[in-house]
Amino acid sequence: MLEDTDNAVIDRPVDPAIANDWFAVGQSGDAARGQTLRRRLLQREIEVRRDASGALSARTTGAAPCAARDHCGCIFICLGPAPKPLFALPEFDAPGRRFVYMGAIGVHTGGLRVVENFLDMAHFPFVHSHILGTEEATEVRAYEVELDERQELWARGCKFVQPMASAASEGEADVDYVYRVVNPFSPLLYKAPAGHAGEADIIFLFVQPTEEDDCTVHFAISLVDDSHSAGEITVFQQTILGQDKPILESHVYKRLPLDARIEVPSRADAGSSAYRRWLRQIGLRWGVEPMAAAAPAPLVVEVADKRSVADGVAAFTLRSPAGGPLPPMTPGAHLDVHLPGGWIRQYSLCNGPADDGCYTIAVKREDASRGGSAAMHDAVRPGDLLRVSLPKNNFALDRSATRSLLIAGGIGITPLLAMARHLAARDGDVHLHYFCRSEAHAAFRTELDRELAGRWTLHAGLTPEATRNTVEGLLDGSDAGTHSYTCGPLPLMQLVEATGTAAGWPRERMHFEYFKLAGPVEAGGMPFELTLARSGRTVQVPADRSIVDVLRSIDVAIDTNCEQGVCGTCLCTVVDGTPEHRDQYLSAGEKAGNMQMLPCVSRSRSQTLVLDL
Amino acid sequence: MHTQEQARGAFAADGWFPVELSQHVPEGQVVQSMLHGQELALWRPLAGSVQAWENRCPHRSVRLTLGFVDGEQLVCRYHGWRYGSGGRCTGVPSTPALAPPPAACVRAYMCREADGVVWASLALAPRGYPPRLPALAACRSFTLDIAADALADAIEAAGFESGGHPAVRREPGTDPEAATLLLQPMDAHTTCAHLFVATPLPAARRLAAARRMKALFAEELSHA
Repeated sequence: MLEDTDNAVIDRPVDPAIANDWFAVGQSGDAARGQTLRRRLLQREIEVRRDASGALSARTTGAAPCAARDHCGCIFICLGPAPKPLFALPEFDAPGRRFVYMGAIGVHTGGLRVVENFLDMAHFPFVHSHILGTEEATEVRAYEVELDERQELWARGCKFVQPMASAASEGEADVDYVYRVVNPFSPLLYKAPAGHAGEADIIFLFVQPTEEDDCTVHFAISLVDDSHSAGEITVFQQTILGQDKPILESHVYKRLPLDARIEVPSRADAGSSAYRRWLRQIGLRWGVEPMAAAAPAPLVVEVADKRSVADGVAAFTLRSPAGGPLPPMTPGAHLDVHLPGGWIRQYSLCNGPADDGCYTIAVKREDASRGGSAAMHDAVRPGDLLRVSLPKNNFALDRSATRSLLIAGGIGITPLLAMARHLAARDGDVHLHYFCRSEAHAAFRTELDRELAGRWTLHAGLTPEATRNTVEGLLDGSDAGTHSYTCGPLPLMQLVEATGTAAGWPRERMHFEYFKLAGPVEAGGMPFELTLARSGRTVQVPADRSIVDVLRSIDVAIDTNCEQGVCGTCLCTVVDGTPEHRDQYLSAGEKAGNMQMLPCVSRSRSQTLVLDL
Repeated sequence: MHTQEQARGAFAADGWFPVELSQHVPEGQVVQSMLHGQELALWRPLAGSVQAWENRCPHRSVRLTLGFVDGEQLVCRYHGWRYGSGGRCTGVPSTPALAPPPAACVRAYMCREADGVVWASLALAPRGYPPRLPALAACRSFTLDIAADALADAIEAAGFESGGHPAVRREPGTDPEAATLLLQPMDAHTTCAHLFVATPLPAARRLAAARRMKALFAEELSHA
């Protein structure tokens, strides 16, 4: 027996966040005098009646009456007891304009998804290829987003190059867009040829949400064009919506997720990020994906073997307790290892391509260790279980290289050993130069001799001058297909960088592993001092690193998602100091207030900054 | 009772399961599959091994099977975001000057291919390895409205034996038509049984094996 849930009477009240909003349920002409329309809205059956005098009335089936109005060519319904004012659109009645209702189209997805798609320009080149965009011009230029005092969301200054912007277009044109969302389910778009705002087509995309994951879209336009028939205009716009529909119906979550960590925006998504933020602010629950982002599952490995591979260097073989393969790694990758005592340390993987059943890392005992390497050497034993991250790679091989020059210093051998093994296995042109204090300090000699015979050179116990001469010799006269990869003590890294630069190596062919994450957004700015109010810790944020990056390096956990200043996941409270806001998430007013900031991109104007962390 | 518990153990989510026949994932294409209720996008780059990813673009949660393979990358249909090895985002066309957001990473499941079968596991570190199936060839796949452990019980009751791997059952005997079934738990109520028989085998005998399995499933499922 199937239960007829679709027609079950809903006794839950309408979500208060949208109860007093107006929803379009058709065009005014749908209800002639004396006629009754039946519509579904927010999981309720509605009867809309136009009496002999032309006045509208509405009621939910078997329940109280609700508000009904004609406005801008459409019939609007409000289910709540205190309807908000209907939006104002003075242009609608301006002389020379006409109104074309282009139809009601069912879309099997949540209405909020439809609105967000309408606010999005980034999909034009892919979904509306050769009409609203081309794959030759995909960049979305920066635009302004604002929630105004009437609680309407505006995106202004949006520009896009369009091959065919409307039924009336005669070729490629730069088009100005202004988006206006009058309530969460009702967006408008003012679309004009660049610099002709007064002649804007006003496109209505009023969503009639029927179920949480289903809706009907009322699609209409107010326009100045008098040369095209309503039919021609409708065909053009329906082509566009027809291209959107299969995409919209293919969302894994048909309801819009408001947990900022479920989906990852880019900076081009400032409009949709502001829209989602607004929906969070009004506390909307209906039609919203209820799932919260799950914490990533931890990976636990077993220490299968621990052995000394050089003076003060221990190698660890880590295996899966389930006896199967471990998540794949690429040469240059490292693991975050959670150590006894609460330390988190990054160790590069030394693996070759053949062994997918284990990870190999090597740890040098640092005399000045704050506890990381000492814990690995003294406390970790075969049979122990360790929590590790998935392999991460900030030091990947460049696939276009025809020759690879690997330069290792001391314990910096670890990622380069993995690179050398992978390159040698596919018979690549590779040579490894291994600088260390003495022969006794050279790790993995057995492996190097066995697997890389003739492809590696040991430089043991060189003076600084001899090291410089050797590095100069290595970097002399490279061809455009050669890439160098260096990992080792800072002086060696600096020597290679300076020598390579002087010898004419471009930066993109010199790769360095600094054991820090590279910020994806242009960093750059003044250095400043950062204090964490809760722990009292103080750190320096150098000119070329972000706050988030610096916090990670001192093991202060901070949730991030986009790392482009768009999603708001890392939002934190400013206790003292003046932030330099570089994000697109906070409003102008919030930025001026300096109470909050996004540490993934924003910095400090003052010499010191104190955050509530 | 004991068998039931074993069956549940055999189909626990940390194991390896068949998710598609290799021939159905040609080079440069992306296809949909299902394992333990998780929708998968299986795709094969122009150079490299087959991939089993969560069928969801991390940007807007659109299914990646709507997208296309470009060389060694999978491209989302919606905004053209590109994903390469390990599921990492390699390009965001709307912001070409910025590095892709580091969190924009498709969940890549572990995947292996052997003897004409694509195997995957939903676990980070799966139990053991997929089996080898020497001298066998795919014959027919049956999608059945029954849980994998119940189906395993039913075919064991009909005389099938363990095939040396939790997801494999074999018909005893040396007849080349003897069936080997690879069981793919699609979700809690649906199983795909991939029938393999000895190779080479004439078409008529392959057809006979497929008919025999179809009859067996009809018989067993009518009791389930």
